[in-house]
Amino acid sequence: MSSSVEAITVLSSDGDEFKITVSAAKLSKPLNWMLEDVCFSDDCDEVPTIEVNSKTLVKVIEYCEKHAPRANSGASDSDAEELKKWDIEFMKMDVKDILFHILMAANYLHMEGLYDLACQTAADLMKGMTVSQIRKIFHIKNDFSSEEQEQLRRQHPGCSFD
Amino acid sequence: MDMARVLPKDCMCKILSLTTPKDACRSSAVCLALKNSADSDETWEAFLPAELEHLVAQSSSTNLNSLAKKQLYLHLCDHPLLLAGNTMSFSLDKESGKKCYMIGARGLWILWSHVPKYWSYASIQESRFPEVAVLHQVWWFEVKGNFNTKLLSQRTTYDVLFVFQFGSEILGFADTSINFSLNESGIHKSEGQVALYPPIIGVKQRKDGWLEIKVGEFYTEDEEDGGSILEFKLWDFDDYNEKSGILVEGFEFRPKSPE
Repeated sequence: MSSSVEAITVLSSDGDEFKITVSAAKLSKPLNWMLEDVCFSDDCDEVPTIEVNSKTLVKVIEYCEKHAPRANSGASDSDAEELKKWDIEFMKMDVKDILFHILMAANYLHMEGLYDLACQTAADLMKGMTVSQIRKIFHIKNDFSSEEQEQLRRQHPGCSFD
Repeated sequence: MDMARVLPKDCMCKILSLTTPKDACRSSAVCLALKNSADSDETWEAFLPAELEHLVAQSSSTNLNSLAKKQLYLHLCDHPLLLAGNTMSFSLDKESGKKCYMIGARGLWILWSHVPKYWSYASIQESRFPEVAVLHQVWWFEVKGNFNTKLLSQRTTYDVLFVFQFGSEILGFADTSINFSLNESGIHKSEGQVALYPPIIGVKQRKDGWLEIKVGEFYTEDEEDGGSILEFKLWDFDDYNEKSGILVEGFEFRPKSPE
Protein backbone atom coordinates (compact mmCIF):
# COMPACT_ATOMS: atom_id res chain seq x y z
CA MET A 1 0.00 0.00 0.00
CA SER A 2 1.26 3.40 -0.89
CA SER A 3 1.81 5.66 2.06
CA SER A 4 0.28 8.54 0.13
CA VAL A 5 -3.20 6.96 0.35
CA GLU A 6 -5.17 8.74 3.03
CA ALA A 7 -8.62 7.37 2.35
CA ILE A 8 -9.95 4.17 0.87
CA THR A 9 -13.19 3.36 -0.85
CA VAL A 10 -15.36 0.47 0.24
CA LEU A 11 -18.71 -0.86 -0.95
CA SER A 12 -21.64 -1.52 1.35
CA SER A 13 -23.75 -4.65 0.97
CA ASP A 14 -26.24 -2.45 -0.91
CA GLY A 15 -23.53 -1.60 -3.44
CA ASP A 16 -23.00 2.03 -2.40
CA GLU A 17 -19.50 3.48 -2.29
CA PHE A 18 -18.12 4.99 0.89
CA LYS A 19 -14.86 6.70 1.72
CA ILE A 20 -13.09 5.99 4.97
CA THR A 21 -9.78 7.44 6.04
CA VAL A 22 -6.95 5.00 6.61
CA SER A 23 -6.55 5.99 10.25
CA ALA A 24 -10.28 5.39 10.87
CA ALA A 25 -10.25 2.05 9.05
CA LYS A 26 -7.51 0.88 11.40
CA LEU A 27 -10.10 0.67 14.19
CA SER A 28 -11.40 -2.49 12.55
CA LYS A 29 -9.18 -5.56 12.38
CA PRO A 30 -10.61 -6.93 9.12
CA LEU A 31 -10.35 -3.50 7.49
CA ASN A 32 -6.82 -3.19 8.75
CA TRP A 33 -5.95 -6.56 7.20
CA MET A 34 -7.50 -5.38 3.96
CA LEU A 35 -5.28 -2.32 4.06
CA GLU A 36 -2.24 -4.53 4.40
CA ASP A 37 -3.28 -7.13 1.85
CA VAL A 38 -5.07 -5.26 -0.88
CA CYS A 39 -3.64 -2.71 -3.21
CA PHE A 40 -5.28 0.60 -2.46
CA SER A 41 -3.30 2.79 -4.77
CA ASP A 42 -5.04 5.01 -7.29
CA ASP A 43 -4.53 2.72 -10.23
CA CYS A 44 -6.02 -0.27 -8.43
CA ASP A 45 -9.64 -0.77 -9.43
CA GLU A 46 -10.59 -3.35 -6.83
CA VAL A 47 -13.10 -1.96 -4.33
CA PRO A 48 -13.70 -4.25 -1.35
CA THR A 49 -17.25 -4.96 -0.21
CA ILE A 50 -18.18 -4.83 3.44
CA GLU A 51 -21.18 -6.94 4.40
CA VAL A 52 -22.92 -4.09 6.18
CA ASN A 53 -25.85 -2.14 4.74
CA SER A 54 -25.42 1.49 3.73
CA LYS A 55 -27.43 2.98 6.55
CA THR A 56 -25.34 1.13 9.15
CA LEU A 57 -22.03 1.69 7.38
CA VAL A 58 -22.61 5.46 7.46
CA LYS A 59 -22.87 5.24 11.26
CA VAL A 60 -19.90 2.88 11.61
CA ILE A 61 -17.70 5.20 9.55
CA GLU A 62 -18.93 8.21 11.55
CA TYR A 63 -17.87 6.40 14.75
CA CYS A 64 -14.48 5.42 13.32
CA GLU A 65 -13.68 8.92 12.07
CA LYS A 66 -14.57 10.39 15.46
CA HIS A 67 -12.57 7.87 17.48
CA ALA A 68 -9.55 7.49 15.16
CA PRO A 69 -7.56 10.54 16.35
CA ARG A 70 -7.75 9.41 19.95
CA ALA A 71 -7.11 5.73 19.18
CA ASN A 72 -4.03 6.61 17.15
CA SER A 73 -2.43 9.21 19.34
CA GLY A 74 -3.98 9.00 22.80
CA ALA A 75 -5.76 12.00 24.24
CA SER A 76 -6.15 14.15 27.29
CA ASP A 77 -8.77 13.53 29.94
CA SER A 78 -10.91 16.38 28.66
CA ASP A 79 -10.93 14.79 25.21
CA ALA A 80 -11.94 11.47 26.73
CA GLU A 81 -14.77 13.20 28.54
CA GLU A 82 -15.89 14.92 25.34
CA LEU A 83 -15.76 11.60 23.48
CA LYS A 84 -17.89 9.94 26.14
CA LYS A 85 -20.57 12.59 25.70
CA TRP A 86 -20.34 12.18 21.94
CA ASP A 87 -20.81 8.38 22.32
CA ILE A 88 -23.98 8.90 24.35
CA GLU A 89 -25.43 11.18 21.67
CA PHE A 90 -24.25 8.84 18.93
CA MET A 91 -26.03 5.88 20.52
CA LYS A 92 -29.40 7.63 20.61
CA MET A 93 -30.74 5.55 17.77
CA ASP A 94 -33.70 3.39 16.91
CA VAL A 95 -33.27 -0.11 18.28
CA LYS A 96 -34.80 -2.08 15.46
CA ASP A 97 -33.63 0.13 12.65
CA ILE A 98 -30.02 0.66 13.60
CA LEU A 99 -28.83 -0.66 16.99
CA PHE A 100 -29.13 -4.34 15.99
CA HIS A 101 -27.24 -3.66 12.77
CA ILE A 102 -24.55 -1.72 14.62
CA LEU A 103 -24.13 -4.63 17.04
CA MET A 104 -23.77 -7.10 14.21
CA ALA A 105 -21.50 -4.82 12.19
CA ALA A 106 -19.23 -4.12 15.18
CA ASN A 107 -19.05 -7.85 15.83
CA TYR A 108 -18.29 -8.63 12.19
CA LEU A 109 -15.74 -5.83 11.87
CA HIS A 110 -14.07 -6.72 15.21
CA MET A 111 -14.51 -3.19 16.53
CA GLU A 112 -14.15 -3.67 20.25
CA GLY A 113 -14.96 -0.10 21.29
CA LEU A 114 -18.13 0.17 19.22
CA TYR A 115 -19.20 -3.37 20.14
CA ASP A 116 -18.85 -2.65 23.87
CA LEU A 117 -20.67 0.64 23.48
CA ALA A 118 -23.56 -0.93 21.55
CA CYS A 119 -23.83 -3.85 24.03
CA GLN A 120 -23.90 -1.40 26.94
CA THR A 121 -26.59 0.65 25.17
CA ALA A 122 -28.74 -2.45 24.65
CA ALA A 123 -28.15 -3.54 28.28
CA ASP A 124 -29.17 -0.11 29.59
CA LEU A 125 -32.39 -0.34 27.59
CA MET A 126 -33.20 -3.66 29.28
CA LYS A 127 -32.47 -2.63 32.86
CA GLY A 128 -35.50 -2.42 35.10
CA MET A 129 -37.90 -3.29 32.29
CA THR A 130 -40.73 -5.78 32.62
CA VAL A 131 -40.89 -8.81 30.35
CA SER A 132 -43.51 -7.24 28.10
CA GLN A 133 -41.55 -3.97 27.92
CA ILE A 134 -38.43 -5.88 26.83
CA ARG A 135 -40.47 -7.63 24.13
CA LYS A 136 -41.76 -4.28 22.91
CA ILE A 137 -38.40 -2.46 22.91
CA PHE A 138 -36.56 -5.24 21.10
CA HIS A 139 -39.42 -6.42 18.90
CA ILE A 140 -39.40 -9.90 20.34
CA LYS A 141 -42.30 -12.29 19.88
CA ASN A 142 -43.34 -14.38 22.87
CA ASP A 143 -42.83 -17.94 21.67
CA PHE A 144 -43.45 -19.73 24.97
CA SER A 145 -46.40 -22.10 25.17
CA SER A 146 -48.87 -21.34 27.94
CA GLU A 147 -47.56 -24.38 29.86
CA GLU A 148 -43.98 -23.12 29.61
CA GLN A 149 -45.08 -19.70 30.75
CA GLU A 150 -46.83 -21.18 33.74
CA GLN A 151 -43.68 -23.12 34.60
CA LEU A 152 -41.60 -19.92 34.45
CA ARG A 153 -44.02 -18.22 36.80
CA ARG A 154 -43.64 -21.08 39.26
CA GLN A 155 -39.83 -21.05 39.02
CA HIS A 156 -39.61 -17.30 39.65
CA PRO A 157 -42.40 -16.49 42.07
CA GLY A 158 -41.00 -13.05 42.87
CA CYS A 159 -40.78 -11.92 39.25
CA SER A 160 -43.48 -10.09 37.39
CA PHE A 161 -43.79 -11.50 33.88
CA ASP A 162 -46.49 -9.15 32.65
CA MET B 1 -36.40 -8.22 13.20
CA ASP B 2 -36.25 -10.11 16.46
CA MET B 3 -33.11 -9.32 18.46
CA ALA B 4 -33.03 -12.59 20.31
CA ARG B 5 -33.05 -14.58 17.06
CA VAL B 6 -30.78 -12.37 15.00
CA LEU B 7 -27.91 -11.62 17.36
CA PRO B 8 -25.34 -14.34 18.03
CA LYS B 9 -25.60 -15.99 21.43
CA ASP B 10 -22.28 -14.60 22.67
CA CYS B 11 -23.50 -11.10 21.84
CA MET B 12 -26.79 -11.66 23.72
CA CYS B 13 -24.85 -13.04 26.70
CA LYS B 14 -22.56 -10.03 26.70
CA ILE B 15 -25.56 -7.66 26.71
CA LEU B 16 -27.24 -9.60 29.51
CA SER B 17 -24.05 -9.68 31.57
CA LEU B 18 -24.05 -5.86 31.45
CA THR B 19 -27.51 -5.72 33.05
CA THR B 20 -28.13 -6.95 36.60
CA PRO B 21 -28.88 -10.43 37.99
CA LYS B 22 -32.51 -9.38 38.41
CA ASP B 23 -32.77 -8.24 34.80
CA ALA B 24 -31.13 -11.44 33.55
CA CYS B 25 -33.60 -13.53 35.58
CA ARG B 26 -36.51 -11.60 34.15
CA SER B 27 -35.14 -11.85 30.60
CA SER B 28 -35.38 -15.60 30.72
CA ALA B 29 -39.17 -15.20 30.48
CA VAL B 30 -39.09 -13.04 27.33
CA CYS B 31 -38.70 -15.74 24.68
CA LEU B 32 -37.00 -19.11 24.17
CA ALA B 33 -33.89 -17.74 22.47
CA LEU B 34 -33.35 -15.12 25.15
CA LYS B 35 -33.94 -17.70 27.89
CA ASN B 36 -31.15 -19.75 26.40
CA SER B 37 -28.73 -16.81 26.75
CA ALA B 38 -30.18 -15.52 30.01
CA ASP B 39 -29.64 -18.88 31.75
CA SER B 40 -26.18 -19.48 30.32
CA ASP B 41 -22.88 -19.69 32.17
CA GLU B 42 -21.46 -16.92 29.93
CA THR B 43 -24.03 -14.46 31.29
CA TRP B 44 -23.85 -15.47 34.96
CA GLU B 45 -20.08 -15.72 35.09
CA ALA B 46 -20.08 -11.90 35.02
CA PHE B 47 -22.27 -11.70 38.12
CA LEU B 48 -20.02 -13.97 40.19
CA PRO B 49 -16.95 -12.54 41.95
CA ALA B 50 -13.64 -13.23 40.24
CA GLU B 51 -12.19 -14.82 43.38
CA LEU B 52 -15.09 -17.24 43.85
CA GLU B 53 -13.14 -20.33 42.85
CA HIS B 54 -10.57 -19.47 45.47
CA LEU B 55 -13.29 -18.96 48.11
CA VAL B 56 -15.02 -22.24 47.27
CA ALA B 57 -11.67 -24.04 47.51
CA GLN B 58 -11.16 -22.56 50.99
CA SER B 59 -14.60 -23.57 52.20
CA SER B 60 -15.86 -27.00 53.08
CA SER B 61 -18.50 -26.88 50.31
CA THR B 62 -17.15 -29.24 47.71
CA ASN B 63 -20.23 -29.92 45.59
CA LEU B 64 -20.54 -26.39 44.19
CA ASN B 65 -18.31 -26.78 41.16
CA SER B 66 -20.85 -28.99 39.43
CA LEU B 67 -23.56 -26.30 39.52
CA ALA B 68 -24.38 -24.16 36.50
CA LYS B 69 -23.32 -20.54 37.12
CA LYS B 70 -26.89 -19.27 37.53
CA GLN B 71 -27.65 -22.01 40.05
CA LEU B 72 -24.38 -21.28 41.80
CA TYR B 73 -25.31 -17.59 42.04
CA LEU B 74 -28.74 -18.34 43.50
CA HIS B 75 -27.24 -20.92 45.85
CA LEU B 76 -24.71 -18.43 47.22
CA CYS B 77 -27.48 -15.91 47.97
CA ASP B 78 -29.14 -18.28 50.42
CA HIS B 79 -26.34 -20.63 51.47
CA PRO B 80 -23.30 -18.78 52.82
CA LEU B 81 -19.87 -20.31 52.33
CA LEU B 82 -17.97 -20.80 55.57
CA LEU B 83 -14.40 -19.52 55.46
CA ALA B 84 -11.39 -18.90 57.70
CA GLY B 85 -11.86 -21.98 59.87
CA ASN B 86 -15.63 -21.47 59.97
CA THR B 87 -15.28 -18.06 61.65
CA MET B 88 -16.44 -16.06 58.64
CA SER B 89 -19.12 -16.49 55.99
CA PHE B 90 -19.43 -15.27 52.41
CA SER B 91 -22.64 -14.84 50.44
CA LEU B 92 -24.07 -12.76 47.61
CA ASP B 93 -26.66 -10.02 47.78
CA LYS B 94 -29.45 -11.35 45.56
CA GLU B 95 -30.48 -8.05 43.98
CA SER B 96 -27.06 -6.65 43.16
CA GLY B 97 -24.75 -9.65 43.22
CA LYS B 98 -22.43 -7.75 45.56
CA LYS B 99 -20.39 -9.54 48.19
CA CYS B 100 -21.63 -9.98 51.75
CA TYR B 101 -19.51 -11.17 54.65
CA MET B 102 -20.32 -12.08 58.23
CA ILE B 103 -17.83 -12.55 61.02
CA GLY B 104 -19.15 -15.19 63.38
CA ALA B 105 -18.92 -15.15 67.16
CA ARG B 106 -15.75 -17.28 67.03
CA GLY B 107 -14.09 -14.64 64.84
CA LEU B 108 -14.89 -11.80 67.29
CA TRP B 109 -13.20 -10.63 70.45
CA ILE B 110 -15.66 -10.93 73.34
CA LEU B 111 -14.65 -9.74 76.79
CA TRP B 112 -14.82 -12.49 79.42
CA SER B 113 -15.62 -15.13 76.80
CA HIS B 114 -12.75 -17.28 78.12
CA VAL B 115 -14.71 -17.81 81.34
CA PRO B 116 -17.56 -20.28 80.70
CA LYS B 117 -19.47 -18.90 83.67
CA TYR B 118 -19.86 -15.59 81.80
CA TRP B 119 -19.97 -16.56 78.15
CA SER B 120 -20.09 -19.93 76.44
CA TYR B 121 -20.16 -21.20 72.87
CA ALA B 122 -23.01 -23.38 71.72
CA SER B 123 -24.03 -25.13 68.54
CA ILE B 124 -27.53 -24.19 67.50
CA GLN B 125 -29.52 -25.16 64.46
CA GLU B 126 -30.44 -21.63 63.37
CA SER B 127 -26.81 -20.59 62.98
CA ARG B 128 -24.77 -20.69 59.80
CA PHE B 129 -21.69 -21.17 62.01
CA PRO B 130 -20.81 -24.25 64.04
CA GLU B 131 -20.95 -22.15 67.21
CA VAL B 132 -22.58 -18.98 68.51
CA ALA B 133 -21.71 -17.06 71.69
CA VAL B 134 -24.19 -17.27 74.56
CA LEU B 135 -24.12 -14.63 77.28
CA HIS B 136 -24.80 -16.02 80.76
CA GLN B 137 -23.75 -13.16 82.97
CA VAL B 138 -21.49 -10.12 82.72
CA TRP B 139 -21.29 -6.67 84.20
CA TRP B 140 -19.01 -5.44 81.45
CA PHE B 141 -20.45 -6.15 77.99
CA GLU B 142 -18.02 -5.75 75.11
CA VAL B 143 -17.96 -7.38 71.69
CA LYS B 144 -15.59 -6.21 68.97
CA GLY B 145 -13.79 -7.24 65.83
CA ASN B 146 -12.10 -6.06 62.69
CA PHE B 147 -12.46 -6.68 59.01
CA ASN B 148 -10.44 -5.91 55.90
CA THR B 149 -12.70 -4.04 53.49
CA LYS B 150 -10.70 -5.17 50.44
CA LEU B 151 -12.73 -8.39 50.57
CA LEU B 152 -15.90 -6.46 49.70
CA SER B 153 -17.27 -5.17 46.40
CA GLN B 154 -15.81 -1.87 45.27
CA ARG B 155 -17.48 1.54 45.22
CA THR B 156 -20.34 0.37 47.39
CA THR B 157 -21.91 1.64 50.57
CA TYR B 158 -22.07 -1.15 53.13
CA ASP B 159 -24.11 -1.45 56.29
CA VAL B 160 -22.57 -2.96 59.42
CA LEU B 161 -25.13 -5.09 61.23
CA PHE B 162 -25.00 -6.77 64.62
CA VAL B 163 -26.79 -10.13 64.34
CA PHE B 164 -28.16 -11.62 67.55
CA GLN B 165 -31.04 -13.32 69.33
CA PHE B 166 -32.49 -13.23 72.81
CA GLY B 167 -32.26 -16.17 75.17
CA SER B 168 -34.85 -17.13 77.70
CA GLU B 169 -33.86 -14.78 80.52
CA ILE B 170 -33.07 -11.30 79.32
CA LEU B 171 -31.40 -9.18 81.95
CA GLY B 172 -29.87 -5.73 81.76
CA PHE B 173 -30.85 -4.94 78.16
CA ALA B 174 -34.31 -3.47 78.70
CA ASP B 175 -34.33 0.24 77.81
CA THR B 176 -30.56 0.25 78.02
CA SER B 177 -28.43 2.05 75.47
CA ILE B 178 -25.60 0.00 74.07
CA ASN B 179 -22.72 1.99 72.60
CA PHE B 180 -21.22 1.27 69.22
CA SER B 181 -18.32 2.70 67.30
CA LEU B 182 -16.69 2.26 63.94
CA ASN B 183 -13.05 3.05 63.13
CA GLU B 184 -11.51 2.86 59.69
CA SER B 185 -7.73 2.46 59.40
CA GLY B 186 -7.37 3.60 62.97
CA ILE B 187 -9.40 6.75 62.41
CA HIS B 188 -12.60 7.26 64.32
CA LYS B 189 -15.48 7.11 61.86
CA SER B 190 -18.80 7.02 63.68
CA GLU B 191 -20.40 6.14 66.96
CA GLY B 192 -23.83 5.99 68.49
CA GLN B 193 -26.17 4.10 70.74
CA VAL B 194 -28.75 1.42 70.13
CA ALA B 195 -31.37 -0.24 72.30
CA LEU B 196 -31.58 -3.96 71.68
CA TYR B 197 -34.50 -4.68 73.97
CA PRO B 198 -37.43 -4.41 73.60
CA PRO B 199 -36.67 -5.01 69.91
CA ILE B 200 -38.64 -2.08 68.53
CA ILE B 201 -36.47 0.71 67.16
CA GLY B 202 -34.07 -0.38 64.45
CA VAL B 203 -34.15 -4.08 65.31
CA LYS B 204 -35.24 -6.15 62.34
CA GLN B 205 -36.23 -9.77 61.96
CA ARG B 206 -34.07 -11.61 59.43
CA LYS B 207 -35.13 -14.41 57.10
CA ASP B 208 -32.65 -16.74 58.78
CA GLY B 209 -34.45 -16.40 62.12
CA TRP B 210 -31.98 -13.98 63.75
CA LEU B 211 -32.44 -10.33 64.67
CA GLU B 212 -30.24 -7.55 63.32
CA ILE B 213 -29.52 -3.94 64.10
CA LYS B 214 -27.49 -1.50 62.04
CA VAL B 215 -24.47 -0.10 63.86
CA GLY B 216 -22.77 1.84 61.07
CA GLU B 217 -21.99 2.18 57.41
CA PHE B 218 -18.99 2.83 55.21
CA TYR B 219 -18.03 3.17 51.56
CA THR B 220 -15.55 0.94 49.73
CA GLU B 221 -13.16 2.60 47.29
CA ASP B 222 -11.48 1.19 44.19
CA GLU B 223 -9.39 -1.92 44.34
CA GLU B 224 -6.15 0.01 43.85
CA ASP B 225 -6.93 1.54 47.19
CA GLY B 226 -6.08 -1.78 48.85
CA GLY B 227 -8.94 -1.63 51.33
CA SER B 228 -8.77 -0.58 54.94
CA ILE B 229 -9.13 -2.22 58.31
CA LEU B 230 -12.51 -1.60 59.80
CA GLU B 231 -12.79 -1.87 63.58
CA PHE B 232 -16.24 -2.20 65.10
CA LYS B 233 -17.22 -2.38 68.73
CA LEU B 234 -20.38 -2.77 70.80
CA TRP B 235 -20.16 -2.13 74.55
CA ASP B 236 -21.94 -1.15 77.73
CA PHE B 237 -20.64 -1.08 81.30
CA ASP B 238 -22.43 1.96 82.66
CA ASP B 239 -23.28 1.35 86.31
CA TYR B 240 -22.07 -2.24 85.91
CA ASN B 241 -25.61 -3.56 85.47
CA GLU B 242 -25.75 -7.29 85.24
CA LYS B 243 -26.50 -8.52 81.74
CA SER B 244 -27.57 -11.89 80.42
CA GLY B 245 -29.75 -13.61 77.85
CA ILE B 246 -28.29 -12.75 74.47
CA LEU B 247 -26.91 -14.97 71.71
CA VAL B 248 -24.37 -13.50 69.30
CA GLU B 249 -24.30 -14.76 65.71
CA GLY B 250 -21.88 -12.13 64.44
CA PHE B 251 -21.39 -8.89 62.53
CA GLU B 252 -22.51 -8.69 58.93
CA PHE B 253 -21.30 -6.41 56.11
CA ARG B 254 -24.00 -6.09 53.50
CA PRO B 255 -24.62 -3.58 50.68
CA LYS B 256 -26.81 -0.83 52.07
CA SER B 257 -30.41 -1.48 51.19
CA PRO B 258 -32.39 1.37 49.64
CA GLU B 259 -34.20 3.38 52.32
